[in-house]
Amino acid sequence: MSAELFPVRLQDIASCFEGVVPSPICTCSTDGMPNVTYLSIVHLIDATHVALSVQFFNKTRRNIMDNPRAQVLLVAPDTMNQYRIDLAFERTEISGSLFERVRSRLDAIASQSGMKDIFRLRGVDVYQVLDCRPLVGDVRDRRPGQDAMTAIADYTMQLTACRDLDSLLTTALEQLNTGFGYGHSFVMVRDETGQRLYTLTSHGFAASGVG
Amino acid sequence: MDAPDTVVAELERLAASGIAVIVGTCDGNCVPELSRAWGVRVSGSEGALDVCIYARQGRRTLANLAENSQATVTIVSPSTYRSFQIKGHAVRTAAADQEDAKRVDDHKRAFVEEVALVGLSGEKAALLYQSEMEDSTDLMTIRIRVDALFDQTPGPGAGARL
Repeated sequence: MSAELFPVRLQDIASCFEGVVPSPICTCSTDGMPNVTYLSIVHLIDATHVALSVQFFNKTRRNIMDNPRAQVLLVAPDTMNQYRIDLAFERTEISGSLFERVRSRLDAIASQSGMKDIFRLRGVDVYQVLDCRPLVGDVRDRRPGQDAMTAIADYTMQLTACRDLDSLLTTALEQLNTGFGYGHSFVMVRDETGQRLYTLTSHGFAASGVG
Repeated sequence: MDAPDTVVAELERLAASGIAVIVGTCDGNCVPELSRAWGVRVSGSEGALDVCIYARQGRRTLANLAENSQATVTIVSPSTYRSFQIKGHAVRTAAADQEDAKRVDDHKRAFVEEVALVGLSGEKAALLYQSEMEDSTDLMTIRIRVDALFDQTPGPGAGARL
């Protein structure tokens, strides 16, 4: 299915996928009884796919195994616009890069909401998006979305790949410029006495200012 | 309602607070649909609850109920995550009366106060329901006869029948 068939493109509502406002999901048993529960985050994979974490919503999971259709209500935290996305279950992943990306985001949300001991990732369900439309009327304030979570994930992956302190510091500041537009940055640490700060490294200044 | 009196009493208290309310339905082909709802009234003695939805945003919900009366209502406190899921059958759908409309207004005010506890400004919270009213202010009230009540609070006990 072409992304242009949706009234709203998923990439234009990227803020809906940052886990700020929980998203209700509705599934349906084969005898026509709906089930509604909440997701802490919906993960955007590409223009026609999203991923949902498998944690503790058992009735949802049972329904999906029997009837692959689901609907999720998304809220954009910046505009409070709401969107319905219709989904069809495709597959479950229990390891790999998508699984790890979902786990890291879920850990962050669990920690922030005080539910670290409750959330446990069992798998990641991948869904094809069949439709994405505003809850009512036309889309207001439509603009290309910036997926801040993806940018942060890319940034931390680059830091993780650094093998020594010099490369970590250099990469950290260079990528703040490249990825987020912060052209001037520096890292300061306390000296051995703990009384004064000194500059360990800097980026974007005419004089390095180190020391 | 089969649930213990203490549970029903808690549900009634929660319904009168600033909860988030979602109605789930599905059509004859088991395709699900969600609608946000307002102005919940729980009547333990009658084993029923009433919810109000705006007609245009809930167009498919209303059509689904005409085809398949099974419905689910999930209510959650945004500040505590205390949640219930109520399953039942829609037994009546009608235009909201003045009492329903007042309950919806009271709910919206309580909702704004509740979500302020989790850092959402009143202005933003109001956008949530104002957008639903953008195309239509027609409120419909759905009465649902309760068949089963579930604890939906996140955690190992989520999904337990009450």
